[in-house]
Parts: sequence; structure tokens; C-alpha cells
Amino acid sequence: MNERINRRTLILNGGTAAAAGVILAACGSEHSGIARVGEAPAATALPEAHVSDVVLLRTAESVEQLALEALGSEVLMSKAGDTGKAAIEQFVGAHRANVAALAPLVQQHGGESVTTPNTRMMKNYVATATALIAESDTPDTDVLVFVHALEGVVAATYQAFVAWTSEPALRSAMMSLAVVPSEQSAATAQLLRSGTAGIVPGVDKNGADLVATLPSAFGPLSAYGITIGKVNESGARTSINMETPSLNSLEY
Amino acid sequence: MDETTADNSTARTRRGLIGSLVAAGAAVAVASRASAAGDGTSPTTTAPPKRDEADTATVNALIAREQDMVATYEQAVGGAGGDDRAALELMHAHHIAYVQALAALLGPDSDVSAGQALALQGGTYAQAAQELAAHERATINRHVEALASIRGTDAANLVASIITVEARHVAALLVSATGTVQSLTAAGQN
Repeated sequence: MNERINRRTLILNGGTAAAAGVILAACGSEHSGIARVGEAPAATALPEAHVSDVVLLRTAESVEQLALEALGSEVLMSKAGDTGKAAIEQFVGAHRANVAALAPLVQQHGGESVTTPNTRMMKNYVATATALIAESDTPDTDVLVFVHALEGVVAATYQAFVAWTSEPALRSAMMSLAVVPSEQSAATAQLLRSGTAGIVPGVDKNGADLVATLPSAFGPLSAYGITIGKVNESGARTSINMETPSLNSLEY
Repeated sequence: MDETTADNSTARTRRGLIGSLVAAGAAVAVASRASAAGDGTSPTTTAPPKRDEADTATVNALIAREQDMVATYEQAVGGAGGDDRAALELMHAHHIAYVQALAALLGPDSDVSAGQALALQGGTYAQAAQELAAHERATINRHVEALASIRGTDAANLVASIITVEARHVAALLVSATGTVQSLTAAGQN
């Protein structure tokens, strides 16, 4: 019996306290005068961002601009060997053609063309790779390693966007633009490991994977891992993962 | 009222309260969804289908083309030796994989009949590589054109992943045969 009374009393008292709290709160002014540390700014909701076809087209433009900026950089042009330099000049022309092909597509879909390199991809790995090549002991090889991955990333970007694009005709247009960067990536692999022996995957005498022109049967969407730059005191070099754009690097 | 009855009464009340809350929550959720769907401001996008039966004929046409490439590489491999043969065998294996992957996509609707070898006259690896590269480019073009009508995202993703590697085939053949990257444009790069 005592227990029942206690529980009821507790609920009753609790309810009374809550009601009193509500009444007191309602009576109080907005600026109560009670001391408080700092000012809490009004929360502003983030704008909604939809991954539409035009967003993908604009991002593709930014990735092509990234390739143009990276390939045309003073570091790459000065550190590349003669063969590498000739290849890069050819590749730059192909990326300009892709940019020119993308611009009308962006306009048709009601977007505004992107004329600057993809900021996050530039910050995340292109700037780092360029700096490492600048101080490398084997810069001409490192340039080719970087260009091989960069061209692969550009091609993989279009491939990745097929899954996100809603309009079939646009998927087709994007993949037509993926062909040349993919060819250029494979051609650069041939410059690193030439001839038909370089086409097939293989390993060196230490069991490490060699660059292969055809490393897989289907186009991968995984990151391109490259190891470039100066050898440090431990005998190691810097590894960088070069990836296709993700949700936080799209041009909304 | 004995203690047992009182406890039962309390339990019923508590259960009833929880039940009412759950019901109210569900009602709010349903009302909120209904409101969001009908307010005219929310996006009304429809995701593309993963698979579409209308793609069957298109994908079967791509299988037929890949079967032709398999037959063509079989012929090319027969006339090659050493590293050249190993490289051609790898590309041959890739095309077999494309046939299998595309057929797997369609299941029982797939039409996997034997292909016909495309024109291949080259006696040396360099000559054969030029011809094979031209066939690869023609195959890529067919895949790219097919993408414009393929509605299912599974098929579109698969075809896209084939296109990027067939483009690598082109470069592998041309640059290994000529030793120069410029061969890509000389052979009529897109």
C-alpha cells in the first residue's frame, strides 16, 4: 500500500513540477537577463544539393580542366623527357577537344560551364603530386606514372558518371568522351613498359606489380595508387591515391 | 481493490499510453509524408531502372559483335608467337569475358551464337595490330551508340566498363606495334 501511494505521489509531484516549469517558462521574457557565455547564431540549413545530369556534366568539365592545368604545368613540362613531353602536348589537345564538346552539353541542360580545375581533386592529390615530381630523383619516370594515373582517372570519371546519369543519350555522350583519355592512359603505360611484353600484367624480381597496359578486363572505378617523389631516409617514397570525383567534389 | 488489481490497472494504463504514443507518432509520420508528396515543392525524380526488358535486343547485338571479336582474335593468336601471342591471348580472353558478362545480364534471353571473324590480312604483328585496333574502335563505337538507347543502369554500367578497356586495347595494339604515342592520332583517334 505504501509503495502504491509513493508511486502516485511521485507522479503527482512530478506532474506538478513540470506544469510549474511550463508556466514559469511562459511567463518569462525572451531576454531573461540570465548570464550566458557566447552568442548562439541562428542555425542556417545547408542548401539541398541534387546530383543531376547537369551537375555531372559540370563536374566532367572541371575534371577536364584539371587535366589541362596539370598537364600544362611548368613542372610537368620541364621534368618530362622528350617522349613524355611530346605525349603530353598531344594529350592536352585531346582534353581541349573534350572541353569544347562538353560546353554545349552543359548549356543544353541549363547549366553554366566550369572553366576552372576541380578544386578538391587539385587540392587532394594533383598539387601534391606536382610538388613531389618537382623534387624527385627520377622526374621523367614520375611524370609518366602521374600522367598514366591522371588519364585513367579522367576516363574512370565518365565511366563512374554513367551510373548517376539519368538520360541514356547523355551516358552515351559521356562515354564517347571517355575513350580518348582511356587510350592516353594505356599509351602512357606503354611508355613506362613498352612492347607487347608491357601489355600483360607482370611482377618484377621482388614480386612487385609492374605497370601493365591492360591490367584488367573491365574498367575499374577504384583509386589509382601511385608512388612518386624523392626517396626519404627510410628508403620509401610517397604514395598517393588518385580518385574519381565523389559527392563532395561535384560541381553543383 | 487489492494490490494485484491495482498493478494490472497501472500496467494497462502504461501500455495504453505507449500504444497511444506509437499510434500518434505513426499518424504524424504518415501525415508528414503525405504532405511532402503533395506540396508540389519536393523533387519528383524517378530513378532509372536497374534492368529493362527493352534492352534485350540491344545487348544481344553487342554480344554478337563481341563474339565476332572473339573469332577475330582467335585467328590473330594463331599467327603470333612469344610476347605478341601472350598479348593477343589476353585481349582474346577479355572479349570472351565481355560475351559472358553481357550474356549473364540477359540470362535465358541471351543469344550467344558463334561469331564470324572480321577481316584480318596482316602477316606481321604490326600489320595485324593496326587492323585489330580498327576493329576495336568500330566495336567501341557500337557500344557507345548502344548506350544511347540502353535504359537499364546495370547494362549501361557494364557496357561503360567494357568501353574504357577496349579503348586501352586500341592504344596497346597501336603503341606496341609502332613504338609511338602519335600512332593514336595517326590511326584516327576520336
